[in-house]
Amino acid sequence: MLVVWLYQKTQDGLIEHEFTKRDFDDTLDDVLDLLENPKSIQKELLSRKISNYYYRTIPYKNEYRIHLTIFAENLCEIVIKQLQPQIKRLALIHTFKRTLALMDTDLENIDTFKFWYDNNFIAAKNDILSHIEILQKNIEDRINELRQLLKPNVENPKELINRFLDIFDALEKQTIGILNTIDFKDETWQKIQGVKERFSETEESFEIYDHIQRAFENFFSNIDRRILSINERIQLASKRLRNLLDTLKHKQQYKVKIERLLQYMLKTAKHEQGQIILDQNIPLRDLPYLQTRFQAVPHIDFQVENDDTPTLPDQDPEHAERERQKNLQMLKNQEQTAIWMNKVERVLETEKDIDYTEWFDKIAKAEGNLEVPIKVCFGLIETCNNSDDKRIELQQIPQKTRHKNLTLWKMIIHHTDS
Amino acid sequence: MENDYTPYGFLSSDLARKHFADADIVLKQGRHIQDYGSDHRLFVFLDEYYDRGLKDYYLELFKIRLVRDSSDRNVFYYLDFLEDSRGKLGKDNRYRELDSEKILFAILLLNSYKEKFFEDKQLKWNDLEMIFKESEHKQYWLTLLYGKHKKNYTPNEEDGVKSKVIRTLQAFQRLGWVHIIERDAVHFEILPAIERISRLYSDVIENIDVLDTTFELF
Repeated sequence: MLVVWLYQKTQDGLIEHEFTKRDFDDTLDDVLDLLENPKSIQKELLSRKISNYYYRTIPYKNEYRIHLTIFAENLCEIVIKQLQPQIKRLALIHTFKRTLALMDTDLENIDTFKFWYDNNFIAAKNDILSHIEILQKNIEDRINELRQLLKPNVENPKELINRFLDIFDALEKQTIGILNTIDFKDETWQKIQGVKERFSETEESFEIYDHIQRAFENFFSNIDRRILSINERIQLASKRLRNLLDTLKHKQQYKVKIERLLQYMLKTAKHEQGQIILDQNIPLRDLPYLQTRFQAVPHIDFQVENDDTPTLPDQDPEHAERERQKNLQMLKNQEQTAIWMNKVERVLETEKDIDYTEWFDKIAKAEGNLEVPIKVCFGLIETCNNSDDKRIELQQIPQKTRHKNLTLWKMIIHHTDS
Repeated sequence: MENDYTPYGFLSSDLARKHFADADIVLKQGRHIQDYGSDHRLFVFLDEYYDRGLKDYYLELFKIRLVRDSSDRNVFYYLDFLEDSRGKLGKDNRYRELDSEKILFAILLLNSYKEKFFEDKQLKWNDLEMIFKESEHKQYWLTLLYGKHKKNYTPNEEDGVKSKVIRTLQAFQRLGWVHIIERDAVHFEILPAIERISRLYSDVIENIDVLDTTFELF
């Protein structure tokens, strides 16, 4: 900050280019005042630290004077340019014409061409890039500000829109300035192409030429894309701005309502088993959805005789029969389970307590399998869990059953009148 | 003698021969057709014949409406049910309910579309993550998307949410509401037809003040 401040003072003529120790101390005091005199900064130490790179002390008449190094001046220039961009409509093309212009003397031999590349092209490249970066940031900032227009209660919207229109007009002019600059590069490009043969005589010169040519081409194709994108953004925003006036009020209210709906949905929705469930005030609505299905596409080859007999898939009748029987048995088991559950529940109504172990044996014997008594058991547990007047009591006393390999705990179901 | 007059003369036009079948199939599949990408041809056909028989064709033969709608002057077309009937699309498998998740995402995208009034309407995964994890309503988003609100989520949880978003975007792409630019990077553009969600829920949007107030009271 101190170096930038000193640089700015020399530029503004407030102090001489070779300034005195007193000028230095005054500026340092200004900076410390601005920073509210932090205790961590010691004047002597600071001055010693920055003297290594940023300034030199030289004898001047009977005294000593200080001047900033060229490195410090360049640095300050970059910082100031970034903080206070002064883009003028034609500034870039003028810089460009001065720095990028390729004269015949630059093309005399490969060394002069390389000199032009190192000293003119690279400088112009940095200038163009910095212009574009600043312009891009400028547009982003303005577009962010534009969003405010869609918020409700904007004061003087008409005036505000007109102000933005002026800003975007200015931005558009800058883009045109850069586009003109880009056009100018075509002339330079043609000159570079024109000397290809001249620099192809030796491998060494061709390599240098080729490197320069590629760098030039790559840089400008990249810049072309960036400029077009900037231009599109400006055009879109300007177009929208012009259309906005008529509908601004309606748009603001509508946007606010959508935002509120989104907030309402977020606040009232629930997350259940991995799914989002909206509040019941947000009804689910239908959209047309006619699914086009092609079940089978007939393949008809008229070149060969077609007997119209469809090709049937290979089938194993025994396997199909087994599957059929299996399904029938499954259905039968489900039916029997329901019947037995009814029976047990009816008995429970009259007898109040039952020992399910006895019933287990009875069902297993009648059905000839264990699946039905087990399913009945699970069914009863579920019924009891959902009932206020039925209760299951499990005693961990092993009960023998008719099946050798099966032992049950004693399970008693109680029924109370509620 | 039969009358030679045909009310659907547009069917014998060159444009209809080329595009009617495609337009008809995708419209019935719920697609919204706008002047964008490969739908441009279908859009030109619909725009040309909408008032010259096409609208009546759907109303009279299918008892459904072919709607010409617009969002910020961008026109789009879609099929919609009449107020009291689903017409010939009323049978099973000819319509589909928009589930809760899709409604929420559609309203989110509509809100972003409106917010980006002055810009292009592209969004990337980073933008969505900012909404889910950094916005004012992050606690709601995180609870709804991940099931719980916590500081960090496992890679599996993150992948799960990302896949869910991609699936929803793919469904929206089929509807013509978004265009996916790069699937894995979740880079997409919101299209003007996203406005349809506001038409579907216009009554709720209009009454949001009442809903909101009732909710605050309880």
